[in-house]
Amino acid sequence: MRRRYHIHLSGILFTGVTVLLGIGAINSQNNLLFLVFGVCIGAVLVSGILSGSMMMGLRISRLAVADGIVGVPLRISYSVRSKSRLLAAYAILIRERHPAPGDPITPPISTCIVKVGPGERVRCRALVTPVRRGRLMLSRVEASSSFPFGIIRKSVSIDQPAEVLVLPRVRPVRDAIFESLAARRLQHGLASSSKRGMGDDFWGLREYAPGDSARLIAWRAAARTGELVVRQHTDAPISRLRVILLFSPARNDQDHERIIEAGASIIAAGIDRDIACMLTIPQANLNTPAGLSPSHRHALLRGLAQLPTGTTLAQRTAPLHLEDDAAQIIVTDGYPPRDAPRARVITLEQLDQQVFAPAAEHAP
Amino acid sequence: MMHYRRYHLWSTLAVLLALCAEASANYAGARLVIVLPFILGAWWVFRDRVVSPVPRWLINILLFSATGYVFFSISRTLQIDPERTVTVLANYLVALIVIKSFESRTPRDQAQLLILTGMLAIAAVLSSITLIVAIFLFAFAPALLMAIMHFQIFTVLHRSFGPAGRPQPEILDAEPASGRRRLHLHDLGRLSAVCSIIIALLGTGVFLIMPRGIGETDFGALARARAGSTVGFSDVIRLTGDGIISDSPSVVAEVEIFGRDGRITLQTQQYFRGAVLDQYDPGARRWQRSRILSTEIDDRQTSRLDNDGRTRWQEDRPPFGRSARAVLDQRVRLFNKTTAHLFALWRPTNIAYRESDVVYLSPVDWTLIRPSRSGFVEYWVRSVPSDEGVPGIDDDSEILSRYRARHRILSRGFRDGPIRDHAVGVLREYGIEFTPDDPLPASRVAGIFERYLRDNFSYSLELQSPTDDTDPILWFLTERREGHCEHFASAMAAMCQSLDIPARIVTGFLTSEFDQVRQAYIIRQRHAHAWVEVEVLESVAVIDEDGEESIREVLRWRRFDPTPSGFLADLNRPDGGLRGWMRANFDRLEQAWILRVVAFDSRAQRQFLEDAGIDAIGPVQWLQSISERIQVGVVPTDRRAEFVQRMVDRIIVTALVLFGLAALWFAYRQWRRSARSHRHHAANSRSRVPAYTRMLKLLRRSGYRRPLGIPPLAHARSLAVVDPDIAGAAVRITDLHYACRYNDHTPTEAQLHAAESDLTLIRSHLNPSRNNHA
Repeated sequence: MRRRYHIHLSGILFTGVTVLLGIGAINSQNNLLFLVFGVCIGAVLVSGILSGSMMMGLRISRLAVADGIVGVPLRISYSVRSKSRLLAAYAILIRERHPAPGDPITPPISTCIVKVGPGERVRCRALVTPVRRGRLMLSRVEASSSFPFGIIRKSVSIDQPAEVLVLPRVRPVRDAIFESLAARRLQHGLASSSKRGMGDDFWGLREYAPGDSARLIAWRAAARTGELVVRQHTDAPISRLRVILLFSPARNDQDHERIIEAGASIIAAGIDRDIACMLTIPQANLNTPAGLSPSHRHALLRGLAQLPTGTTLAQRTAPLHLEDDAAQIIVTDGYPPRDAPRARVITLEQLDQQVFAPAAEHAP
Repeated sequence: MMHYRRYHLWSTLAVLLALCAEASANYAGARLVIVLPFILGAWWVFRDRVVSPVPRWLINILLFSATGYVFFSISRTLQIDPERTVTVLANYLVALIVIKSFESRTPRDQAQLLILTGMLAIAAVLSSITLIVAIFLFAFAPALLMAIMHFQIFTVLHRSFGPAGRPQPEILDAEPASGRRRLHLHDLGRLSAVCSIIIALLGTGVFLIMPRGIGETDFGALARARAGSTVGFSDVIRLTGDGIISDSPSVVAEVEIFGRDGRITLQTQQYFRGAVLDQYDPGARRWQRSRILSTEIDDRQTSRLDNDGRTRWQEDRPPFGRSARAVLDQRVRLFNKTTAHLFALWRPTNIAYRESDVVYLSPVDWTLIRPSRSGFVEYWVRSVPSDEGVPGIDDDSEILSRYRARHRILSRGFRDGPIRDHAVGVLREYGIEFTPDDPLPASRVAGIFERYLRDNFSYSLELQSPTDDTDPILWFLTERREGHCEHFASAMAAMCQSLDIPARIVTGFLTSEFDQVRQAYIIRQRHAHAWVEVEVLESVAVIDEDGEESIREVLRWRRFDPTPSGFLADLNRPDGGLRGWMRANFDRLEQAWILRVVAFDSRAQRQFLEDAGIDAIGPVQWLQSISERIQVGVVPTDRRAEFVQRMVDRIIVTALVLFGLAALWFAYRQWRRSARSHRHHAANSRSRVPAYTRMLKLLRRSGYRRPLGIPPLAHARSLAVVDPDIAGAAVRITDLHYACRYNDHTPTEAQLHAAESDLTLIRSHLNPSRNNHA
């Protein structure tokens, strides 16, 4: 645990004014000025003693932090305990000291506690919204206060390294993407279904219900029975989905992040639709098994979170070997690959039109 | 928001008290009345909001305008009246505070507001040291402390949660581990009270211990406060200008009077003489002390009543010894001496005071001049009745004949004019015919003039002057027939001088108010008075030092007071009832404040330290020697440029020294920080799991150094890409290290042995060829 005194501008100014008051008092022999000078001296002493005693008895620790998601506020909780029996600690600012320079994953993390009474343990939370996926390295927690008079700031810091994974953002995905994937499977003769759905195969007839499309009315059957009936078709099922992400070396990190975001969104949406999803990133030698549990979803997202930035990935040299019968969707920021004829390919420019749903479509 | 509201309340209170203190110090009540609605309005507007409705550009314009105006004012004030510079700066501070009260509530702006408030309080201290200012400041200090404490809370909230300082809904206020949500802000009040008491005690201690009389004027006029204007006395009478004479009850002085039989406690009128004015300037329409008196006679004959040590100061009785004559010994405490004059009854002959200083006594008009020292002044003075001659002075015919010769020159202005005609007419009314060749008895003529003015003129506090070129004295005598004491005295002195009767105006104080508690006469501002002294020829008894009495014909100055006595009695009557009781007690508090605090000098300090058993002589002498070495002193005007240059040089040297010390200190801090970092790393490397330290070294040598910012466990796991076995072993060792480092775990022998085994495994996997050879 490290304790430090920080002398900042207000303290320097106050000290300078105090010195001037002392000189003025001596020069003018104004007794009231002597009194004011004494009060300033007293304020400096009380400030130093009080702030030091206040912070001396504080013990801070960071509680366990769950994984975060880009764009979703991340809660980081702290526990502050006061071992002092007499003094309360006021106006405590708690900050994280990021060790790594460069592009931060989150804005500066800070929170405050108004008061920690003698012998009390207080919890507080900092809310920070990650702006980028990746590993958030937390190293040192610092609690500081310039209470009572702002002359001297005292800080107490502890080394408590921790790693928080920030998962990529998951956005709502259009339903049409899955429907098109099902259609492709049927087109390739890979699936049929005994369920009702929107496929092309005839499944059965039922009575006409208000709202049914006129094109679905089976006129001949209706003429025979004398009642309006409509046709029902089979569902084009997708039980497994492989999401393949391909990164072009010609693109920048921002484009790569969009690809990763699209992949994460498709995976999350697929699992939500009970589709077992797999993730393949050839350039990272990543090929996960299929799964549709929430933990599998989380694991896939964690895998995407730990993916290095696209520019550090090696260029793809080996062809894609996608031989299973799962639906395949390739999201790429480069040219569409030619070695995956069955896969639905979505390029960077098509993401907004074909993958991500507009906000109103999935509004509650 | 609650925290912000509390800060807002205390900061507004601190601002109000600082404004009141400054207004009391500079007698700027009117400005306070104008500013008060703005401050209260700002408090009302910002009760529940932090964003200002006033646009930022408007506030900037107002700030720049105020700054520009003060630069202009100061440049003018420095040329005309440098002592008013502090007042101009105080006005500027007040304007800034009012403008900034309407800014948005951000920590930076509020910090500036609090700083300005503190500076305003300091300006009040520099301007005045009266009790009312002290009371406001004593109330201001704890309010400022509370405001600053709440400001710290407001700042951290603002920094963490944004401009409104409101915690977002998902974030809880700090709650105790027990789950109950409590905010103990009322404890802040107790903490503030304790801090205030401690600071007050420390401040009092510094006040008592700081050496007095050392270092005075070492830095020239820095922080020399204006003494204020609580004295109603004036050593010049101006008969121009309109207005109203102040009847302020502010106490100017208190006087204890001792006669032959002890302390005098009668509520009788006492005339305390201050200045003597014997020459009228018709162009400027004012009375003043003639230069002839000031230079020719006084320079040669003025007595210097040096405090030569022969008269020892006594606290409770006159220090002059017994006298055969009827004398009056007075102990005078003048609370705010602003002119060079001292005050005494009758005719002063001896004076005693504590400090080594010089007082001048004029033998012709008996005025006491003490050029140095302002503020609180205390002295003993012995006076003899003016109708008793003083051997060695009154019988010095040469002095008196020269004075009378000079007086004939002075009175020439009235000799041939309408005032003489009026004076002759007055005498005729009273049955006396004036002929130039037959001089009239001066005492009789003066008595007639006194009676004439008292019976036929009325008193008024209202100041008025003639609208045309008529002389104010003539205008008073012929048209207005109403005025205040200066008019009455001027008229009588003018009429006497017009008839070649030596007459002079005396300004001072007239009081009959006796405080039974303090056993002293109280002199207030409203007791300022002017009367006339006329030189008359009389047979008087002169008593010499041996006590022998003889009758002589001497010219002596006799007092005449032409002001109607009824009004004087009203003016001297103390306030009655509750108001009078409060007034009297406040006066006593103020006098105690001045005596105990304001007048706390080196003598009082030495007494206090001796009583406390502290030997302060040695340190005081040491400080005195330092002060003498850096003595700058009062610099004559013609050497001002040299003084300024010397001051600038000293300031530059001081700044360089301070900068050097600061640089040394920062360097020392940096060295300590790096030393601590070394120790920290060394401590880290001296893990309680020796295998961990060796593992880090091994990995570093093998090219797997832990990157900065990567936690050890994460680094260990990342070794899986190299070799899963290495990663597993590294993770086990690091886990053990974590447990010892962060969980206060003491490793067992088995655990340490297992760690050594893991380290061997890592070594073997990293350097298989070496191991093979081994």
